[in-house]
Amino acid sequence: MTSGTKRGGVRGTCASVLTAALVAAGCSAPGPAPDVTLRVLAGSEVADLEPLLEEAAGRTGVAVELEYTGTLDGMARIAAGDRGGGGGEYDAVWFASNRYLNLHEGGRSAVHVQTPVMVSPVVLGVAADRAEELGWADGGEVTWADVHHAVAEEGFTYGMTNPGASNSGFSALIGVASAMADTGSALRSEDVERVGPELAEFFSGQEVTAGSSGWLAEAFARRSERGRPVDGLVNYESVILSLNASGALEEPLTVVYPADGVVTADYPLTLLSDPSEEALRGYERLVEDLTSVQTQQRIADRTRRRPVTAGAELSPPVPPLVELPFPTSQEVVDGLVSDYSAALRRPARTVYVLDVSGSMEGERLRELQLALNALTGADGGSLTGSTQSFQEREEVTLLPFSTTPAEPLTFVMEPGSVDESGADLAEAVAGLEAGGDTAAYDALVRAYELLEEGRTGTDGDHLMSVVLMTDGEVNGGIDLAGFGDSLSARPDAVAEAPVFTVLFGESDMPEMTELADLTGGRVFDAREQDLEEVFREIRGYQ
Amino acid sequence: MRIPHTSGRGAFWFVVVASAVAVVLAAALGLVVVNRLAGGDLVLVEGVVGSEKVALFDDELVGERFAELGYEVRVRPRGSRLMAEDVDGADFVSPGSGPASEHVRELHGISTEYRLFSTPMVLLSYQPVVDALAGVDVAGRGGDGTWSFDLAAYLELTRERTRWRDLPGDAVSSSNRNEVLVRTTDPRTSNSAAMHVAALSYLLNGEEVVTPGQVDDDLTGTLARLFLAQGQPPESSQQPFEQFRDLGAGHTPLLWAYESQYVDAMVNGPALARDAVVLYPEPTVYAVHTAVPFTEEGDAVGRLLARDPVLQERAAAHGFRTEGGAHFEDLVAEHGLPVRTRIADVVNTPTYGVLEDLLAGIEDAYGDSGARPPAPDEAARGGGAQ
Repeated sequence: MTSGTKRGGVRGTCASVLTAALVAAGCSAPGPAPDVTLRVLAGSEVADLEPLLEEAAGRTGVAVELEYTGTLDGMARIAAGDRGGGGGEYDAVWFASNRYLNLHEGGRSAVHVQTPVMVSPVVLGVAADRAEELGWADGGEVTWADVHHAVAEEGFTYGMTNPGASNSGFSALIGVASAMADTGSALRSEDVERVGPELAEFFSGQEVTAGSSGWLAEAFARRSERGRPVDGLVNYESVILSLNASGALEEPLTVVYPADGVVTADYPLTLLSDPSEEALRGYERLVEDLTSVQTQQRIADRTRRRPVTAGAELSPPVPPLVELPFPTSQEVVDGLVSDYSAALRRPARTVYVLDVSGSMEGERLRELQLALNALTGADGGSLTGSTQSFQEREEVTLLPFSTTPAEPLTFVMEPGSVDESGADLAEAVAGLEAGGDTAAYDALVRAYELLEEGRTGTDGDHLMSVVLMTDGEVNGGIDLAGFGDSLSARPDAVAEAPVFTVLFGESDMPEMTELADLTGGRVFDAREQDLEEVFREIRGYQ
Repeated sequence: MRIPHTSGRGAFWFVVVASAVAVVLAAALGLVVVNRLAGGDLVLVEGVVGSEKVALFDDELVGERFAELGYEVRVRPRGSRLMAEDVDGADFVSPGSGPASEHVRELHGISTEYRLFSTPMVLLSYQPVVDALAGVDVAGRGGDGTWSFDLAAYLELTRERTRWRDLPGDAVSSSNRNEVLVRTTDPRTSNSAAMHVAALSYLLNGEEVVTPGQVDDDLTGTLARLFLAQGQPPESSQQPFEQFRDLGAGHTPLLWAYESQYVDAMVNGPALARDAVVLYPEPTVYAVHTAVPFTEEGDAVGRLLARDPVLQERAAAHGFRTEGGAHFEDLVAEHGLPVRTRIADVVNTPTYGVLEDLLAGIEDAYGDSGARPPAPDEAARGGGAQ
């Protein structure tokens, strides 16, 4: 699986199948050929609608071109008036929620009209046996506070996405903080401060993080399959129900609906301000189709999100839920997300395994240096930008390698002196020199050795991962199988650390994919995209 | 669909049909009629209207009627509060309250105002929630079976920061830890929320309509809390209504709404759940919808909206109360809706200046809480984003 800003073209042309196969292809009626194309900046959450959009295009003549980006990042861009996309200006945006956009200066003026298309609350899925043990299986009242107690007293662990990168984690963070504050009204800055210690304890149970809700579900399933399960999963109801239906788990998760409330995503298809006449009409036609009972039923059946049109239903039925008030203030929200990154979450420990073989000489090495530097300074800009830079308490190890791994350089981002540590790191990055072969697996073995050495008795608290950036085939040292053997000899806590591989230059994609699969990591592609952007995206997974 | 700048397909077909019969009509009725019916000759009239009226203007029958009368009316929605400042190119504006209408006329030096129709503000809830509210004497059922909502008793509950779970009985609300608060739209932009301010300020001011000079920090502070505590407010009245309808009592136990929204949904669908309840706040305020013309064409359309029997009947069909005739009474009787045809406890809205002072005080509180105030054009669009 590769990632990055991806583009999915959804068109309604059925020209190649203008036969009896038309119906089967989803073009139920020989609808108009697409005469309008809507360019949409979207969250990866709506990617699962692509087949439905293709069908809709056949009926409405409105094609949709989706370009994906992180929710908070995308919204900050739109709020700042930046609508430039790969193929021209965006006509619309489609994220899981517009809440963050509405908080932003300029966010509301960017919207012409918005239509919620489906609904899914962020809830908790729990392994059936654990749910049984915790007394959560009988449908009784479970609150976020109960989950907190389970973390503190029963060692309950869970996966949740990074709030700076993904809307489900963002919603969960706001929801959990509001529920803990238990004021009955919208969260204020002083409430966040007050419940900080409880939140830190709650998040000590977060065993897996991720930059996207979909990948989180896959990671959860993989951990479970390998006998190193996590107890629960904080995610959209739809993702949990889909995971249950996929057969990827031995036993379906018990869906726990926190009685003190949830934050619900409503997926508003949002036409941006000052639309062209064409975009307006296209939007109107598309929305009419998407909110029709037939399409709503298809959405419910296919994505397991709750429909918004009466007459369509999610089956089996799901309970109505209490909605937690969402903060009115961007300051409160930004403060909470920053606190999460810097103080509340388990800090990250990352080894960057960096190819400085001969082929990296020149432009490539310079790009690598720039990309790493971008993570060391305070971004000064968006919330996403600031959560992507190295955070307080975090440990970053640089492990350059060529024929052999070089001496590792570890930087601990001490609270209060993150800037100094960042400057030291930048200096080390500036000193990197290229030369020699590509013995990537020897270097990876060394990386896991460092992760193991880095653990101290009291410290089970870091979320560990490895980033491997290499620009060519491995041509020295041990091979993938040899690395796999060394990994199985490590203690579980270390062996679980995923490798995020970065395709660059002439990387061997199949092998990098195999490596990511082996370690429960993910492949990121920096061949078409800036290395800096890729490094930023990976931050969501660390 | 409630999207501006669209002419209904119905209107198009009418033009086609009308053109086809034009030859026949020409002989009988003469050339004037022919000119009006020949599609291209419709006079285009543009209006800026509160979002709660977009469905009415989008109604195919309304489009047909206007075409019959020689007009094509296009509208774009804007929040009533800042509608006056955003009238570029409009032939008329149609705000949803007396104060907003007053402001438009003052700002643009226009004396004409057509009173189109009105609708009282109501509360929407669900039966188990209403039962719980009845347990603390906030809700009560009248002899005619309709429900009242004691706004003063509600204010008392909010003073004590009562939660839903604190209410008596084992209702839907038993596990709901949120404060008992009426869900409203954004007071910075939306007319519906401004009507909430109007009703509450009357009670908070010792049962007197607030007059200039009476707006102080105590009053705005109390009002502001009732909005800020709800959390991020919906932009327009349509959004929370749909959430009430689709997400149920857990999501929105109690909603401030236009009566017309309720009637429209029950008559034209999609209907609210069987256990949805409409309650009449005591006191309530009327949202009075007017048209203020800027041009001759706008004047003609305003006059038609106020006086043409077909257009008035369509307004009633969308749940608005019209002045002449018994359209509204007939409609609610026909559908057996628990709606009060006569409402006794109604208070006047404050003048534009006073209401604006109150809203500005609330807006400041959003700012103080760290929330950014919407820029003027954002706010204007607030009423339009649905």
